[in-house]
Amino acid sequence: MTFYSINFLLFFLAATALVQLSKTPKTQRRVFLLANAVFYAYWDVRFLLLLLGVIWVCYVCARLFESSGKPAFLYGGVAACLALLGFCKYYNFFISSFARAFGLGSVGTLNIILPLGISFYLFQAMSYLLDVKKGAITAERDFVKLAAYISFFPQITSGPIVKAHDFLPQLDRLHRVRKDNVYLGVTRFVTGLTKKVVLADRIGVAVNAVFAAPAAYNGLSIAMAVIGYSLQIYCDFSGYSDMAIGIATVWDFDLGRNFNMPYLAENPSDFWRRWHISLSSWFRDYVYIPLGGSRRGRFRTYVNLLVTMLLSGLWHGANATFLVWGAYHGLGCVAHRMLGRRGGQKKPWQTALCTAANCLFVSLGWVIFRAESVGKAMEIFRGLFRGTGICYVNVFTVVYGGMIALTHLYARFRRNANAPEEALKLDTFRGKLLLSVWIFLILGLMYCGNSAFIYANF
Amino acid sequence: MRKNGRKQVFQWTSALLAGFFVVNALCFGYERQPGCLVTPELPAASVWQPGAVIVHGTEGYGISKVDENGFLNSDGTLAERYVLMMGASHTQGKEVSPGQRYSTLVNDYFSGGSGFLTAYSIASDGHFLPSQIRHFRAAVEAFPNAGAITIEIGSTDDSPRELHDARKQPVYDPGNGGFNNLSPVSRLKLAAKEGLPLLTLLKKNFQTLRAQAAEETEGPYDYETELDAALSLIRSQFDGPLAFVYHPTTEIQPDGSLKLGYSDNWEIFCQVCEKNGIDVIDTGPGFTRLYETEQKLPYGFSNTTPGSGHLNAAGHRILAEEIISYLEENRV
Repeated sequence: MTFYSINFLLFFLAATALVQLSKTPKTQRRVFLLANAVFYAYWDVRFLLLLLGVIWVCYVCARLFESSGKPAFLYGGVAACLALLGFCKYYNFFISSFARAFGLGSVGTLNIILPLGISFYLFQAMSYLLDVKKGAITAERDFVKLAAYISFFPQITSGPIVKAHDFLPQLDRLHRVRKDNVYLGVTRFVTGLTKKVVLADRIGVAVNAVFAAPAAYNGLSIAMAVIGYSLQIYCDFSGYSDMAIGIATVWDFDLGRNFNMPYLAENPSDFWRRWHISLSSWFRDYVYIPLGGSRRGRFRTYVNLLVTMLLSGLWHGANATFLVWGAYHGLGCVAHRMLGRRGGQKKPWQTALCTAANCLFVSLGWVIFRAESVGKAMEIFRGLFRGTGICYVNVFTVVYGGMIALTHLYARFRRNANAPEEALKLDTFRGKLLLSVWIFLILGLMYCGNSAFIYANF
Repeated sequence: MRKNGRKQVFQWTSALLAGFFVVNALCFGYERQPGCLVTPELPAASVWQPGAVIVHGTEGYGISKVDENGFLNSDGTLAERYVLMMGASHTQGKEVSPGQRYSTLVNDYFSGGSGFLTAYSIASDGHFLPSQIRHFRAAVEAFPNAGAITIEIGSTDDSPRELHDARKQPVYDPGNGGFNNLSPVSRLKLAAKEGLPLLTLLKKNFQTLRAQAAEETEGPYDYETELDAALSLIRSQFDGPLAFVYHPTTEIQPDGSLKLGYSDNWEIFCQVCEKNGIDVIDTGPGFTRLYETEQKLPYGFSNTTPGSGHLNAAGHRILAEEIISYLEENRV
């Protein structure tokens, strides 16, 4: 049940009616949980029990910690989450890497099906346990409330990862579908839908063609595919986030911001403050800062940065490419910390140069992220300098790339490098007309082939 | 309150209609298909509305004008002898400019600027081999001065049952099924299709989303037997040079080489054609040459994927070269 299907529309309208009819926050929490369960079961009913099991473990661990004061219960809960994630996502990778390293030949890899959204809901579950440990929130007595948070359907498949201390308090109040929220939510949703089905999926077709056989294409085509993938992954993932945030906004939830014009970043650290903000801030709050952050001297800061980025890379999947990609960004952040200038206002040309250099750095990093293996990534890097081969400059990469560049320029000069977040003024005829034209344009220009979300794989 | 509600309903309705017409207006420059009629008793399975303009921008980009018979050809009158070109969407070449279509290139080569049409396309969408066999008799009767006939096909894996049924050729009836005999309701539908290209585009998008392969029962039919009977029939209906123009699929391999994809029944097809005195022009070697010498693929456009979809300008050129060479060899 993707967000842009008739089934989802019917499901959402029915759930919204139930939310609106609920008289108390407690009743509403039951409605939220029911909606989450229906949504998740529609995707894959087999793993609903696993999800409930994770929630129950977290619930019990936090309650035991509260009653006994022993942090071991919380750490045990976190360890259980990590063990589950490790088994489902990384077991085969580590066992086969180990066997390769020691020349053990074929080893017992398992046919494990990755439960949908496991990386996202386990991180929310761990966020709950660690927030309880930090004292940011108290252990939840209402199991339904905790379950409604961890399994919240708009973001369970691809994020954003909302932290417990940000979300749980929102479940204490009565949610009402209000006009302003609907306008903002609809605007966010349609923005996300455009990014996904019009921009990302169209550009993705061109990217897939070149990445499938880079040896056949010339340097220009490969460069266009590299640029294309940078645009595709941004539009795909931020598009999903926008839709999720838009849906939650209609129900009067604030999931925060997950992307903030990442290609306007001036350095790798800035990039991670703008890209997948919920994941970066999760690693900052629960890994980087507990490791000591930047408080334990320069060398330790570099190590902490590198460890955090390596783990962040590994979060994306069980493949050496993700580890290399994490290390690449980690080294980028360390280099920026070592060499970056302190204080002072940059001149406009310096800002432009830094932004362009960072875009190049990030785009080359996406090659490692996208490639099936590090060897394949190297093949693509070499291909960038090839003079012969098919010349394929995809029109959509150029046109949509230009549109995205214009949006970024607008944000740079008119919004102080922040993403615009205005709602369409749907009270006015002009607002209604704009929305109508927008939706018909989406329907006319949408890509109708296979269009799975990239981040749903993680 | 009620007044405000009525105002909102009115505004939303007006906005939806206005939005539709704004995007519909844009479609005239992006994707516009005129009305088309299914014509079981004419030389092709369907014809476009004569005089209409087709704009095709979802794959490649081309603007084509429909001729007086409902087909896509250059302006001009038919020469005394000409090559009749049957085929499907590839032959129509809506994805390229009219001057790049293989039918136009062959025509330009033989007409020598005389203004007469020496190659005439009667292709229509979805007009695959069984349909071409079914309409072959009507085509020969409608164009009795054809000196040669080429039939473009991209697959030889047709269903034996369809090949069997294709032998039931209808009698050519020029007075039946044309645009002149339409009922007022049908005329209104065609006018709506002409004026509302967005509807056609949306329908196409939703059909792609819901595309499902229809399963057919094959029955007790054998491919080779049915093909033999069908080709024997069309051979008996036309004495001149008759050739299938077959274009295999292409796929780029991870190592950068080009792999041609031939239909499963390709060998049998060639044998049956030879038995019936029908020539087969295989454009595969031409495609390989195109890739190796010019690093170009015969299919795909800058707004789609290289190597898949319809013939592009380079693909049309290869087909034209092969057909010209064939016609010269046969002294047509």
